[in-house]
Amino acid sequence: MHEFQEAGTPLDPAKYDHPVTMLYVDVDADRLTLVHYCDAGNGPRMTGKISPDGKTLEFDFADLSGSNKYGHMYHSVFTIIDANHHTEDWTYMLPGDKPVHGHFDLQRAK
Amino acid sequence: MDREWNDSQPIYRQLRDRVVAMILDGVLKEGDPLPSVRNVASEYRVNPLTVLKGYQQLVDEGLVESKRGLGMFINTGARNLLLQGERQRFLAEEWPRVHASIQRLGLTPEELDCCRKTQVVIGWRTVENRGSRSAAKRSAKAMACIEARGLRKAFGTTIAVDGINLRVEGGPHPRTHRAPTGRARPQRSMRFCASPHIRLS
Repeated sequence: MHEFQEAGTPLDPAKYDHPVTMLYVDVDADRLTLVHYCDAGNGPRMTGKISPDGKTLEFDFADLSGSNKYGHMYHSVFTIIDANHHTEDWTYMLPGDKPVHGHFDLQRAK
Repeated sequence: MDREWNDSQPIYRQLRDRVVAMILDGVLKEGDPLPSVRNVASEYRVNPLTVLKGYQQLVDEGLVESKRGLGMFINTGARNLLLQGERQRFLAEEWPRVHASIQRLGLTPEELDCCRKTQVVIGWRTVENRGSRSAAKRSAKAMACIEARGLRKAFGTTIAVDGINLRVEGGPHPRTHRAPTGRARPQRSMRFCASPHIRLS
């Protein structure tokens, strides 16, 4: 389970933006699945594939549980740079199929 | 901006609504830059993508313009656009309900007019009127009536002026007035409240 949380942010979902992303391996289907539990009131499920060099994980939208009234997360890419550094690219689909991209460069806090 | 969020809708929508309120209130003026995504995310402890989503909504609505390398700016005409939208929404969604209630209750234009806030404060030869012009005239007539009756006797009574009942309320005024003799005299204050429908104060 990977929990996206800014360092030092209190865990209070009522007051702070606190989406939770879960990664799990679907053993029966032999695939990696990501679910993003979002404050938009839904949990899009994405199916992942790993790059040949093993450094990039890319997830494509599979299906959605919950409402699509406010849009949903659609795509994500995790790129491992080294043990202390990775990047994340997220694409959110707003109502009307308008994508919003966010790039995060995350380094381990010392 | 408030740092509290509610559960009624996603944070990016609430963020969008707060910027809209700031534009309508004139806090953010046309041509003003929006705070950077990074700053808002850090200050309000939200995911930068959440801020981006809120800002993108404003761009899609034509309220904000993104200038490459410079940031986002309030568009010219954004306030008018919002007002136009809000007026249309009021007329389409709220007014029919209000109008139906007015019809159902059989309220007249005069009764609706008298619901506007009317406040008269009588101090030491000081009169302050707030409200419509007709309300001010009514208050002036009421004052003359009260003075004829005597201030002390008027408190707690109801005076009919132009077919409208005004209830006279009074109490010590928070301020004091220094009378010509040099002695501090307490002021009296009164509020004229239309009745019976709505208590105005």
